[in-house]
Amino acid sequence: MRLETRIQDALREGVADVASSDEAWRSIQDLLQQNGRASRWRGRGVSAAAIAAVFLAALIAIPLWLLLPLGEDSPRRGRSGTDPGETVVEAEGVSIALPAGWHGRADSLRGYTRRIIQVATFPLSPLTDVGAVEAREQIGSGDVLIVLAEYIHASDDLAESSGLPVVLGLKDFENVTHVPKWLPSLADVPEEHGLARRFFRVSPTSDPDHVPARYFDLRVEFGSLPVSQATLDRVNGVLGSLSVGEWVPESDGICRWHEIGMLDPDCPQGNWLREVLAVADFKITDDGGTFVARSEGSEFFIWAEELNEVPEAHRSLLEDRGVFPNRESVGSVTVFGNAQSWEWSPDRMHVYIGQGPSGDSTLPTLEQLVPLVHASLDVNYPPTVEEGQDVTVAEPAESSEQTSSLGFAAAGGWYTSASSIGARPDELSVAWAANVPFVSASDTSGFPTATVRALPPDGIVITAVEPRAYSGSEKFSQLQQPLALSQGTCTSTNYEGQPSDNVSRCLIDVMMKGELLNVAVWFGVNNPSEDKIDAANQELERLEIPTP
Amino acid sequence: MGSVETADPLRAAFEEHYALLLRLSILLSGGREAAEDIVQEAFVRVAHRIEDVPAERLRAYLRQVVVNLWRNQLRRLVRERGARARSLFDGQTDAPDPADSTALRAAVMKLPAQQRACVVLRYYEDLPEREVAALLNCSIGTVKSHTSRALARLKKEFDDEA
Repeated sequence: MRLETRIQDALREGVADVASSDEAWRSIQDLLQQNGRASRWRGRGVSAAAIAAVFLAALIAIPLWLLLPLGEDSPRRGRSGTDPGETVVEAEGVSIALPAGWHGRADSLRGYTRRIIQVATFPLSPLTDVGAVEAREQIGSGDVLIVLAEYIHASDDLAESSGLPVVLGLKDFENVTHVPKWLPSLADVPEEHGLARRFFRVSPTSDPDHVPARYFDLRVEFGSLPVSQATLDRVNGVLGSLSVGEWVPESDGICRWHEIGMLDPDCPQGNWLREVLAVADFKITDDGGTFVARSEGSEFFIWAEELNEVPEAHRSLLEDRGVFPNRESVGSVTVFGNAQSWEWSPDRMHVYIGQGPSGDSTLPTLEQLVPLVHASLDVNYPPTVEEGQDVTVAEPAESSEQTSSLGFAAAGGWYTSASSIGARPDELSVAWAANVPFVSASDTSGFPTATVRALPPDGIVITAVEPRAYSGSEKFSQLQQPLALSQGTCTSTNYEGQPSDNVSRCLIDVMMKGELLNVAVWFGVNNPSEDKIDAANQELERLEIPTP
Repeated sequence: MGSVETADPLRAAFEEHYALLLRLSILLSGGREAAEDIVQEAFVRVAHRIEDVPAERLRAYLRQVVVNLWRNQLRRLVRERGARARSLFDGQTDAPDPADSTALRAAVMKLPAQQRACVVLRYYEDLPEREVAALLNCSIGTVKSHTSRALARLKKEFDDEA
């Protein structure tokens, strides 16, 4: 019997008895329930503190709303990433040429590993969601919007077509609901719009054996139906210019460690390990999600993870001499080892070395390992960066320094503004942040009324008022760092001052060194997703609060 | 667990695919506990869109999610692999019997993670190289080289016809 057949039989035999169970089904139900966040997100659970908070917020907000011209909630056309004079949009190995008068841009979105390209006949704002809701709202009757999003880990089985050029036909626009069901749906496409969508695969080179294929979701939306052949020819002309090369990671200011690990130039972990390996004179032979390093006959996987403390479960594994029989003291650390791996913890990091990848590969000997461990102790690891946080704003302030004014630190995908309220301009500072552009110019100088009222489903607005003396009798909890929605009270709908039916709100009112800090977070949906809550929490962490 | 007629599409998908995916997950991760975590998480992730996925594509869709989750957890699985592989597939201390399928299975489980994934997806799931490359987000050449290295290693011990 062939070895391949024997392997197949052996593997199938080994798991033949594995079956589903009621316990597994219950676990899934439990996980789903946990993800529903039922306990945190309640309908109208208004506590006494929340009532006071609503009152305080109203006191602050109402005068500002009265000062502002109302009805300025018409969509604003944002700046374009590419001027009409510039003819090519390029990002991460993908390029597309623009005809005269067209606009294009490539944006990074949190939660998406690859850039998303927008091309349109009208100026485009920065992308705030994968559905390009903002751009779609600006489509006029004669306009066209093309959105190209890339999926990693996609499957050939799901791709509708392969190769370039991608050519759309009139039939593609005949049914506006034609959206492959296994892709995220596009809700709210107006009936008068034409929509085509294609999920396609491209081999970046003629050598598919060595360069992975790339998978794209193409959406083309017309402002009116029917779509003429002439218009379609124009679109196909643009799509004909699409070129796809090998993916090359580019810096976009967002660390996507979870998705692409060592490959992301915005994450310090991979850069640190490169330096450590270079110092110890190891060569990286493959820098995929995990490095492969080689030196003098040894070849192995190596991974470095930012870790302040080894989790208890793994710590007990390390201490188990049955699992890790080898241990060596090198410098100030203990290196744990077995036949398949070495690992140790330099400052704020944990390094793993594993067997592989080739059949002939071997772990480094202890003699080879020692300089590597020393290098890991000698090469400084940069200041801590949270996953998904912009590395450019991660520099921690010196402990002796104090923030002097209220404001949000800059972050990709967020718009911020700071101002003041009260009789005197310097009386109380306020700051806002939004993941959508401010709708009205006055929103950047006063309360973001228009932006909150017109908040799209993916939109988030955060407002904060500088801590101030509070002499009332209401008891507020103390501020806990990092500031998070869990410290506040959230209301989905039917609350006083609700700006629009779709807008929910969380109020965080906490004491800070004897003063009261008011923060409000507005979502464009009544029950925001976990992703949106996480995004809001990340932005709350960037709120710089002056010390009372 | 017997089959259950249900109008709940998630439950129906669970009944049809859970065990198959769990077997794949065990072979990828090397441990039952980690494998169950992965498959249950996969079902949670697709729960909200399960009705949008055509029935004939659901298996491939879930398999993709399982492989993605396994890849995400690879670091942890790699570092725990030694202990887990022992608990499930070991017990072989002497020279393996070339005809022993248990020993062959244990040897597969001891392959480096990428090689093992290629072997499992190629021979257990019976997928073509191109599909394995897409699942693992690598080139076909990488799949070929991992697979051939794995086979070469296994051949030394188990191919009595070589």
